[in-house]
Amino acid sequence: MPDKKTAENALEPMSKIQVKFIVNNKDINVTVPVTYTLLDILRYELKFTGTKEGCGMGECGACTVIMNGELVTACLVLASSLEGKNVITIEGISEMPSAKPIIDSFVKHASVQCGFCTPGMVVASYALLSKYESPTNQQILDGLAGNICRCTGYTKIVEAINEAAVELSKNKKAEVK
Amino acid sequence: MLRDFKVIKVNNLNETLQLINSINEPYRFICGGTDVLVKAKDNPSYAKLLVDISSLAELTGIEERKSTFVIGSGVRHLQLIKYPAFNKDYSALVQAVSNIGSPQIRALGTLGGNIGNASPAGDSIPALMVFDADIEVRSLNSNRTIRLQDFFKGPGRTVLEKNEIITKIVVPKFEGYKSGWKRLGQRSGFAISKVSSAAALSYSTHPNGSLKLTDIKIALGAVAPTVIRVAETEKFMKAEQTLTKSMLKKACDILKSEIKPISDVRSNAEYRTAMAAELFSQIVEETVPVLK
Repeated sequence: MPDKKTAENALEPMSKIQVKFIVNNKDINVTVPVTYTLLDILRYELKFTGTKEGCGMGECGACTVIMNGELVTACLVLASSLEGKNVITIEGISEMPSAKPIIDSFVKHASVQCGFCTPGMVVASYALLSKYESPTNQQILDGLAGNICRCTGYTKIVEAINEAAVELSKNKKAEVK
Repeated sequence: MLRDFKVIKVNNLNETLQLINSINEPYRFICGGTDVLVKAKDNPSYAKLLVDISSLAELTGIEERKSTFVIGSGVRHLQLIKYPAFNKDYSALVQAVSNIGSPQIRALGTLGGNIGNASPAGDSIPALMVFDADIEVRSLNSNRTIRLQDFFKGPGRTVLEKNEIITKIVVPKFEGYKSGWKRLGQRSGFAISKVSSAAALSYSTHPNGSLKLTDIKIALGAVAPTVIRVAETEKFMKAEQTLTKSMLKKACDILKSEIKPISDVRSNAEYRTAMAAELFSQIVEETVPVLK
């Protein structure tokens, strides 16, 4: 039965894989080693180096991106599970008008020390403010619970998010008028 | 990069069952990747072959049936948290999965993975155990339903055969039960539990104000090689019936005598024993605010 044979061949262990998915609204089609994660594809194949590799174990959040509407750590998304997914990175967010108040507020409040965690922090803040218009302090802390800053600048980050929330809701009210 | 594994991507359940029925080499399933990928990256001998089941539609979704909720093993923690019926009647489960990892991890990690991983500290397991959950397992030639309590053999070990896969988690419906879950970790987010507890109970209030316990189920995590139910404590409380603070205190003493946790890098036996009882006591006091 030739059909069966094809099916068996399709289930051979692979060392490379072709994946088609979307990054920042662009169709991506890459062939990469199966050991690659979304993070590796972003950085090595697509040169989106804004997404950082911190721990590589899903604990620090430096590689946070939005995948199908939810925050995920790109270092834990295996290439083979990416087919058809819609990914937004810090590069995509930095071009969104609705994210500008967040980025400006991070700058204004100096919510950055070494800067390594910042892209992940901004992505998580963007996701948080997409969910809550004016988040409570607890909601901010919960929303950022997966992002670690080794320079210990959380206070500034929380302040930045609070002010960005105010700015964003002003903009929204202006739009309505 | 210390990574050396191959991947087979399966597209449907039937294909998966055929594959694992005929495969000769050791393999591991990968779905959410929050645990398997961390280990596979770190340790080339952990997995030479990953079978990627993340696109199996058969493992997704939560279905409400007449007397049960049927949860696909590939359902993410975040989906459980958002499911209205669980928020209403399964507080212990929602509290447990809300505390797994971080928002990022909860969007990736799956309930089937948390169970299959078989950690004695697996956070969803005590919560599912107090709701008498069953695990549905498939192989090419058989279906079987295993009580969650009978599913684990030890840390990282289950009764699952090499040609089997967890497909569903079945949670019976409970009327009039209250439940809670608590854990103690090094920090509140992102820490493996030193000890955890879940309890589900039902009670009625007598006209004179006394509380009559009609049922109680208690599970503890990280105090034994697997998550356990404390049968002696449950038996004592059900026999006593009248629920008071002093009865709860006696129950906690029985609970402490019933467990034999180990000392390890995260905590020591004495502390775990004391805290297991304390967490259980706090759950009861919070779920029964009128307790005297």
